[in-house]
Amino acid sequence: MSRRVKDLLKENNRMNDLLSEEGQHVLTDIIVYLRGMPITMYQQEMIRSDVTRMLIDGELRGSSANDVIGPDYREFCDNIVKELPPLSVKEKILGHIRDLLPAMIVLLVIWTFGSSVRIAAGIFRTFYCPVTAGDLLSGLLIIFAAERLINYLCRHSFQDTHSWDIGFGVLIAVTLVLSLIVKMTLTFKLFYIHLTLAALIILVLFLIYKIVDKYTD
Amino acid sequence: MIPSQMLKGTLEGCILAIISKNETYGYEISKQLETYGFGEIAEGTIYPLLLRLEKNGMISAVYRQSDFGPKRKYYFLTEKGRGELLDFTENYRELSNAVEHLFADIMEEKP
Repeated sequence: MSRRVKDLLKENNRMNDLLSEEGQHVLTDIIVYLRGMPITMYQQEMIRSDVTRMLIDGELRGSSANDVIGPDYREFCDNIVKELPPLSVKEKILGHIRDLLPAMIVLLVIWTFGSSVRIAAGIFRTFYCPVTAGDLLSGLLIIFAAERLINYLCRHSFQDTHSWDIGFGVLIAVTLVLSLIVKMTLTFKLFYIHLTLAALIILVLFLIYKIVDKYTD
Repeated sequence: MIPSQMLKGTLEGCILAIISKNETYGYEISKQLETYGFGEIAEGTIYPLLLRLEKNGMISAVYRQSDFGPKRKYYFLTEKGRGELLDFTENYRELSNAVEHLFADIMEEKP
């Protein structure tokens, strides 16, 4: 993340401690909701800064978060986002890349670790390890499930956990089980990759992530 | 209590008018609106409008130290905002005259 976002994040985290438990709880729900909206990190933290100040001022006057913001926190956030300039195509693409890269890196690390274990156990005879159709498809399914889950949690941050959609939970669980089944059954080898190259790719993806993150507010 | 649908379209202009008096902040704006008879309008309702006004260059913001707590965001009118306030005032007077004229006619027609 850029320097200005880091500074703002630090300042916001410091101000957060000045709020009561109730205020922090409301603010957390608002931040989580905003994290799922199509706005930049900088915009999220600017809004967070403004709302935190409003809530702190309110608490010093003896007002609750409800008194300051109004009864509908979701509507409050939606009205704010409506007033922000929309993301450019470049910002959207960079944002998606920045969000996708950590997931890809983690899955690649897991695959590399699994392959290393197989080499150690004598299952693979060389450092050239196969990438199967199951590996790729299950990876895609896991990334899809993770992205949907995060999106759901953000959009429903103001909801009581008891009223979460069971159907959605089942969908996520089914997707994860499917990814396991696909991994175990689709064993058709697409290509081979040397473990050193895999490690290098992980490093390169990580560097790309750091660069994109720095220049994506 | 003035219905929110009726307030829409006029609240921004009224906020500009309040800010034109003095540099001020969100809570103070909502209190002043209440004093003028707009009813209780939460700061959370004002904030998105302030964002819109700031985005459109009508107002600008500075941070000033408050007596207690962190720095507070104060808003002031820009030149563009002053122009917009003038336009709003003219348009509102025109609307107000038209509505008054209509109601006066209706009252006359009633037996």
